Amino acid sequence: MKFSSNFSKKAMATGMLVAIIISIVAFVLIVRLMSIYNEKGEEKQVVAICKDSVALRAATALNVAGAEFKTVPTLCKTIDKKISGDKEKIQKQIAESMVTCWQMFGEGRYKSNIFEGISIFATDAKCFTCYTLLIDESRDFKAASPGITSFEFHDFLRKEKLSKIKQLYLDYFQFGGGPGTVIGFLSSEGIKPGRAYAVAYKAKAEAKGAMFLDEFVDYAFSDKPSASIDSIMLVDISRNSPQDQELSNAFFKHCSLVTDIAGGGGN
Amino acid sequence: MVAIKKVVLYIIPIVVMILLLILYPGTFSKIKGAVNETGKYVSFGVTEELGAKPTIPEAHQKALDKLLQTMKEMRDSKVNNCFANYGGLPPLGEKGTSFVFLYDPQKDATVVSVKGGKEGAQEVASYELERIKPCVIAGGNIPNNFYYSFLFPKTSNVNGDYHQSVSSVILKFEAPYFGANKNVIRVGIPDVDEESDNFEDQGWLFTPDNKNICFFPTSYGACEPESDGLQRRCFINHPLGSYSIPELVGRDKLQLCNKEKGFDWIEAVLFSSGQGTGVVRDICPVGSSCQTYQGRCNTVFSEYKFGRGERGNCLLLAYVEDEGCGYAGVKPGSTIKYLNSDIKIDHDYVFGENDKVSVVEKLEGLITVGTDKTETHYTCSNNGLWYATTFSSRPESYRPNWCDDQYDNDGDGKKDCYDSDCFSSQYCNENGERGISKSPEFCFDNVNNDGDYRLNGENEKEYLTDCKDPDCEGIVYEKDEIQVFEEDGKKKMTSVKNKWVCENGEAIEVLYEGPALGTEEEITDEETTLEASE
Repeated sequence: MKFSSNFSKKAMATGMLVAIIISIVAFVLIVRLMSIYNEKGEEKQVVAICKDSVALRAATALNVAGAEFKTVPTLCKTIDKKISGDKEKIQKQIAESMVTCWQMFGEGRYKSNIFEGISIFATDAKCFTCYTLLIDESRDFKAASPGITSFEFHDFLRKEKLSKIKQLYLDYFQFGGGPGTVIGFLSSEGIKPGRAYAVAYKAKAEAKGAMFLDEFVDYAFSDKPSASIDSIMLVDISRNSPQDQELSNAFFKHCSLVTDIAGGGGN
Repeated sequence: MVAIKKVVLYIIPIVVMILLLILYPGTFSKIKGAVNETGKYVSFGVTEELGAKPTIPEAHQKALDKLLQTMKEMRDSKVNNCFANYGGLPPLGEKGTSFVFLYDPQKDATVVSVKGGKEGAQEVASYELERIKPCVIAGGNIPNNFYYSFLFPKTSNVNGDYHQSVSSVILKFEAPYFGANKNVIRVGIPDVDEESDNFEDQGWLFTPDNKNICFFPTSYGACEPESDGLQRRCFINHPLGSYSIPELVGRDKLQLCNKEKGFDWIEAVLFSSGQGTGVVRDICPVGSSCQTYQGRCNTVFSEYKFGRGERGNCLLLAYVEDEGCGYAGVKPGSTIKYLNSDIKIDHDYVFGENDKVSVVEKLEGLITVGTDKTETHYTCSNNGLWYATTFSSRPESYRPNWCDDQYDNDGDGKKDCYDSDCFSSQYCNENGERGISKSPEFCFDNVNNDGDYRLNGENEKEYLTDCKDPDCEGIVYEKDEIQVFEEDGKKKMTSVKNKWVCENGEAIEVLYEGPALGTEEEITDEETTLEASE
């Protein structure tokens, strides 16, 4: 009797211990899942708020004898994101970020510059950084591996289709909504882990602020970004070398960055 | 109390409105009209626009196709340091079309991106040219080295490379100021890129090694080298451009990458009316964009539809100074020398701009073959094209039967009818293959093999088949036959030889020489079996 009593006490204690361990593990898993979901959710929330604020700003713009007055502020925030995977996956993630950014600002449908409060005043080219992407190393794609060249990425956009709308990426940016272009400024390193890239939306404006960065870049999708058409841009903003620094400085110098609601970005 | 206040606040405006409507009819519609009127000047919402698939004009696409085709042919040619002409580009238009050539070292290919659509900034299409790298004859001392290597050979003036590889070439249109609205080339070289109107290449390309395909940025002037490119008259067959590329190509002093293409037309220029001296001035490679002498006869020749006849005559244009323009169809086999002091022309047969009568028979008398072995000759081939050969490059004992001996007689890698030197030979037809109407079997097959005809008294075509064709005059045709027949239950065979000759347009049977007619032999069983197995 004594033996069975001791045994049952031990059994109960063990059982309780197992239950506690399972609970802790489950709690950690749940918290992790929730944080992932929360991050994605947070990103989705940021995207939705920006998109809706841009749409509202456009819809409530007042046109008086050719002058446009936009009073509703854009509530857009730069999203910092880490991505990883093999080359194919990385390109896919970058392309999807570009799609989201393009959608946030109306897919190029707006005939006037969405950032300008009063349209009659001359403007510089204005850009907003939707994403800053940092590429993490993975088993399939190391920092020491050859990067994805600008030729490869441009080819990807030409040949691959969006996830939801079955349209080629390049076609979608160029005429899926309104007219648009794709601009890439990548260094000779290409796209690879350990480097950072900005996905930015550039609004149409008159030519004053047009950029010509061929002297800095290995390859630009556009020889001279035209000012009078909306563009979606992918820019290498790494500052690993003096040449990198020159590249990103030149980009930011020529494209007036619009600050986000958190006060980040901007010149 | 509050309720009464509210009622009063609602009722008063309603009563006022009713009174207005009664006392001042039309007020409401006036108010409505005024509001609508302001709507023209005031509205809400940003105007939207929809995108459209970007395109470029068809003329631009055709020009690009020709350019890409020419670049591929240059790559596939076996000739180094050679030239080709893609026909040039039409004006691409401001914010219109542009072509961007970018070299991808990983793939060892050039990616060609065609831009157009809205603002000329959208990508319309892309192409990949494998094993091709863009280059230019521009920058620093490059044009100078090129000029003294090829146009005005003088090795002492050559110091370094004569071409420069580049990672990108952009062809587009710029209109910086009035009078400078032209296509331009941008290559990442400051000297070149700061110039407007710097792409008057007349369609010429150069390759040193069938991999680097070079464009020619141009500068303004006669034909001298400058750091930003050769001057534009180096690309025009102009009297002042004695060392121009088209002239030197035409005189066989510069190599074409595809020599087999030949020349579409040549122009003789005569400096006095009546009997006078003349020169072959303009020689236009097939597919190229060419000017006539000083452009004087451009319109005239483009308006004429020259019928070369079914035999494939070659086009010879003629310009007589102070007289006008004319043209002639020259028969295959005819040869004209570059500098032909023997050219004579009766100016009655050279017509002005409005006349469309050809002078085929009359100008044939102009065609003579000079004896200067160093000067270039142009020979009219069976396919209606001219081919240039420097006389000295022919073997001393060049004979027509060298086109039918299965041997590469002049060491240029081509035998018989594959060699352009033989194109006008009697042994070769218009497809560069052996056998034309002058071969015996074509004079006795009852077929008008070469399409020759003449006009009879009623101006109708009378086709010249077999011996009726003067080309067959004197041709002898022999045919051996084995005839097998049965006699007295036995199989016998006899050999019969037939022989004909064309005389005065008729086929005359000639008695053969050889075994007696009707010789019979008995066929044994063994021979029958052998025959059966064969």
